Amino acid sequence: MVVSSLLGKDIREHRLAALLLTAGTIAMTLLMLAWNRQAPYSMSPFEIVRFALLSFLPLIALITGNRLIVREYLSGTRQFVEALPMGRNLPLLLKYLTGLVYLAALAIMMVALAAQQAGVTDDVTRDYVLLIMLKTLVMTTLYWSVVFCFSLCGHLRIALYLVGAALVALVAWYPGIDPDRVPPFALMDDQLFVFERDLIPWQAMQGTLLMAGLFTLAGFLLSRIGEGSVVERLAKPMTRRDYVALGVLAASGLTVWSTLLEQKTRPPVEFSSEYVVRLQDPAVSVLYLEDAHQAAGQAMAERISESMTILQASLGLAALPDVKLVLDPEREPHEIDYATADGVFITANWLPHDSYDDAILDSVILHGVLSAQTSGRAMFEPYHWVLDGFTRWWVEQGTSELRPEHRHELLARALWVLDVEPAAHQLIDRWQLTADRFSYSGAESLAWSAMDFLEETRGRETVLALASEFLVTPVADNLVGAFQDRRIIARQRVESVLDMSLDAFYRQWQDWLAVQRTDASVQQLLATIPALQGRLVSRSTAEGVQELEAWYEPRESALELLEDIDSAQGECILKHDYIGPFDMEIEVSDDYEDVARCRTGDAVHVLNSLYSSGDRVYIALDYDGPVFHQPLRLHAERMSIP
Amino acid sequence: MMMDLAGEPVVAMDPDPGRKGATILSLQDVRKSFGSLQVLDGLSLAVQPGEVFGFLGRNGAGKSTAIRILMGIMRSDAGQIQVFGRPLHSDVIGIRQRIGYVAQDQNMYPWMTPRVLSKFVSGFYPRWDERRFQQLLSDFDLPPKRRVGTFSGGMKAKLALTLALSTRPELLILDEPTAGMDPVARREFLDLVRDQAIQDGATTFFSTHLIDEIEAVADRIGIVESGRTIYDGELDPLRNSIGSWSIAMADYVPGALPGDFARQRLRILKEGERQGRWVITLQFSEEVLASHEIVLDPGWRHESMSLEDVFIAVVANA
Repeated sequence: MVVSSLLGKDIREHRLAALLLTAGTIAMTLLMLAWNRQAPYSMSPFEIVRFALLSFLPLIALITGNRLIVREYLSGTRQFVEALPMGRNLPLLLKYLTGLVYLAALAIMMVALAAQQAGVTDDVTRDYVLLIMLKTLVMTTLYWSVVFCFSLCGHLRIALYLVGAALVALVAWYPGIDPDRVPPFALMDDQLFVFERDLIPWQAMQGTLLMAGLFTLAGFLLSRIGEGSVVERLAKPMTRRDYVALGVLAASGLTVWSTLLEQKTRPPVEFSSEYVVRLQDPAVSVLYLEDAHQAAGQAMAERISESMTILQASLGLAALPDVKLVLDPEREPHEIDYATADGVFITANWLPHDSYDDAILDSVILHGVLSAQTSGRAMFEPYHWVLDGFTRWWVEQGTSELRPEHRHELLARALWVLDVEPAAHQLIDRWQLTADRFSYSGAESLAWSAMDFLEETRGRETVLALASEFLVTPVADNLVGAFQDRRIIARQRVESVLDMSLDAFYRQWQDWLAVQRTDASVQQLLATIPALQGRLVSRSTAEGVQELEAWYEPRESALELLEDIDSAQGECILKHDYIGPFDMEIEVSDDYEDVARCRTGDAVHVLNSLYSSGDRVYIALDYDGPVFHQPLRLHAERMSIP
Repeated sequence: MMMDLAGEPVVAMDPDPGRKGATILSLQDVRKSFGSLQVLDGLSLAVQPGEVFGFLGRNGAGKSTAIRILMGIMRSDAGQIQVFGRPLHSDVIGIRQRIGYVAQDQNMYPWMTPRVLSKFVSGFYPRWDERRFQQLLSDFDLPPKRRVGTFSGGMKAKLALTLALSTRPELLILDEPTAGMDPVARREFLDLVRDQAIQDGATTFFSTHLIDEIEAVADRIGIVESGRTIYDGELDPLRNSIGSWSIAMADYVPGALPGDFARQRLRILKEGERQGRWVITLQFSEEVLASHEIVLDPGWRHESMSLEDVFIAVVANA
C-alpha cells in the first residue's frame, strides 16, 4: 500500500514528462535508424544504440534525475514525505528503482528497435541481441547511479557533472591512458560493443557495475549523513557565488584541457632514412630503401606530385594531405597497404609494375588523398562510388590520354559485373554491396565506366563538377553545417550536377555500356572469362568435423564468355577469412587461399575443421587469369558457420 | 508546579508520578547536538492523555528539533522517548501511524489537489477516514479540486490539519502551524484546533512561540529554552508566581523589595529603571499573587503583567 502510494504519486507527477521523453527517444532512434537504412552498410543498427548510449541517454538520465530527485529536494516536499509513516530509505530507494527501470525500459526499447531494423548481414541472433542488451543495461545502470548520486548534491551537482565530464574526457583522450582497459570505456569499445557476438565482457561489466554500485551507495550514504541534514543543506538553488565558482571551474578545466591537448600534439611522422625522395607542394616522400631503386623512387614521387598538383588546381582544393610511400620489394604487385595516419601512408612494391599496375597504385594513393581531405566523408556509401570512379578516372585520363588497353580491361570488368548482378548499376544505393560482392577492383571498374560515360557524353567538366560536389568539401565541424550538409541527399546532388534524373543517368550509362560491349577488344577480353558461378556448402560430418566445400557451376550469360571451362587458362581460388568488426569492402588476405584448376561437377575446394560453429566468415571464389591484371570475383558470401 | 528557586532554572516535572502509566508522550533528558551546537540539552516533558499541551519557546529554542525527534525523523543523542507507553524506536512506523502531524512549513505537492493528496496520504494510514476527510474539507471550505499550489498559507494549514485529523490520530502534533498566517486566519485555525480537540478527545501537542495561541488552546504548557525545559505545568500557577512592582526613582532605596517577602523563597527576574520608575520583577516559589494579600511598602505599586511579559521574564532568566 505504502509502495503503491509512493509509486502512484511519482507516476502521476512525471507521467507526461516520461511519455514525452519516451516518444522523443523512439522518434530519435527511428530517425537515426532511417538514416542508417539509407546507407545500410555504413553502420550496423546497433551502432545507433551505442551512439544513443553516448549521447542522448545520459541526457535523459539527467532529466529523469532532475525530475525524480532534485525537484523533490529543492521544493522541500521531501520533508512532507519523510514525516509519513514508512521506512527512512524507502522513498529514495523507490525513486532509485523507478528511475532505473524507466531508463532500462528505454534502453531495451532502443535495442529492440535496432534489432528489428537489422539486416541480413548483421546476422541477428538471440544471443547477440541479449549480449548487446546486457551491455546496454549495465551502462544505463551506471548512468543512473551517477545521476542519482549527483542529484542528491543539490546546487553542487552541476559542478560535479562538469568535473565528471572532464575526467571522462581525460581518460578517453589522454594519450597516457588506454581507455580500452578502463571500465566503462572498455564496455563501450567502438568495435566490440557492436560487433562482439560471442564473448561476454565480464571484466568490463563487473568494473562498470562496481562503479555503479559505489555511486549508488554514495548516494544513499549521503542521504543519511547527519540524518539527511547534509542533503537538505545542499538542496538549494544555485546562488550567484555558485555560478561564479562554476565559471572559474569551467575556465580552469578548459585551460588544463587545452594544455593537455598541446602536450598531446606531436609532429607528424617523417622518414629518417637517407634513401628518401622528398618533394614539397604537395608534400610527397618516397622511401626507396637502396640506391638501386632511387630512380624508380624519384619517378614515382614526381608522378604522384604532378598528378596531385593538377588535381588540386582542377578541383580547387585548399590543401592536400602529405603522401608517404614506402617501397617493399618483397610484396606482390597488387599487395598495397593503405592508411590515413599523418596524411596518406602507403606501402607497396611498384618495381615490377606495368602501366596498368601503376594506375592501380596511383588510384589507391589518390583515393587516400581525397578521403583524408574530406575527413573520411568521401567514404560514406552514397559518395563512395564517386570517390572510387573519379580517382581511377583521374589516374587514367585526368592528366594524360587514356590507354586503350586499360580502357578495354576496365570496360570488360564493368560489363562482367553488371552481367552477374544487374542491380549493381544502382551506384548510390548499393555501392557497398557491389564492393563486397565483386571486390574493390570490380566496383572501381564499374564506377570508372560511369565517369568515362559522363566524360564522353557530357564532357570532362561534368566529371570534375561531380567530384567537386562530393569530394571537395570537408566534413562540417559544427552542428549547423552538419545539418545543412545532410539536408541535401546524394541523389539530389547527382541530379543537380548532371541536370537529369538519376534513373535517366543509370539508363543512358547502361545503354552506352551495351554499345561498348561490341568493341572487339572488349569482347576478346570477355571471352577469356569462364562462364562460371560459385556455390558454397557448409556442413558438419558424422565425426563432428566442420567442412566447407566450394563448387563451380556453369552460368548463363548475356556476354560471350568462355564456356569451355577446361580451356580456361587461369585458376580458381578460394579465399576466406574471419569477418572483422568493420566488415565492409573486404580484401581477403592471400594467406588464406586455396588455388585449384577450375572445374565443374565436384567440390573444387574443401576446408576441414578450419572454422567452427558460430564463426562468421567471408568466403570469396576468384578467377585469376593471365589476361586481367586483377582476379574476377565469381562468388562471394558472408557465412555464419552453422 | 512551582520552580525550584534555590539553584538554576530546573525542569518542573510530572506533577503526578502516579499517572505515569497513562502518559501519552514523555521525553526524559533528551539531548541532541549538530556538531558543536547543542540544540537539546536535557529536555524533559510529559503529556497526559486528552490534554492540549502547549510547547512554548523562542525561535531556535529547540522546539522543531524536539518534534522531529518525537516523530522519529531524527534520532536523539541521548535520553529516553516514550510514545503511547512504548519506546519510540521500537516501532517508529506503527507509532507514526497513530500520530497526526502538522508541520511548520506546509510542503505538500503543489500540483496535487486535496482529493489527490488524500489518495496519496491514505496509503500510509490504516485508519484513514475518507468520510471525515471529505467532511472536514467541506467544514473548512477547502476546494477539493483545486491545486494545493494555489492555496493561501491559511488554506494549506487547514488542509494539513484536515489530513492529520483524517488519520484518526491518538496524538496530534502541531509544529508552529500558524507561522506566516494573518491574525484572522490564525484565530480561525486555533478555533478549529480547539474544537477538534474537544470533539475527538485526542491528545494535542501544540508547539508555538506565540503566547496568545497557548492561552487560547492549551491546558498545560511546557516552556523550552536553550534546549531545556524551564517550566512544565499549568498556566495559572506560572502567572500567579510572577509579579512586577515599581517605585519612583526618588523613593527607591537600592536593594529594597516592594514588601516583606522574606518569608517566601523568591528570586529577582528583572530590575531596572523605566520611565522614571524603578521596576522589579520577582518570581516566587508559590502562587503568591493568588493566595496572599500582599502588603506593599510605601511608594511601591503593583504593575500588571500579560502572559507574554511573564514568558519573556522567565525565558530571559533561564
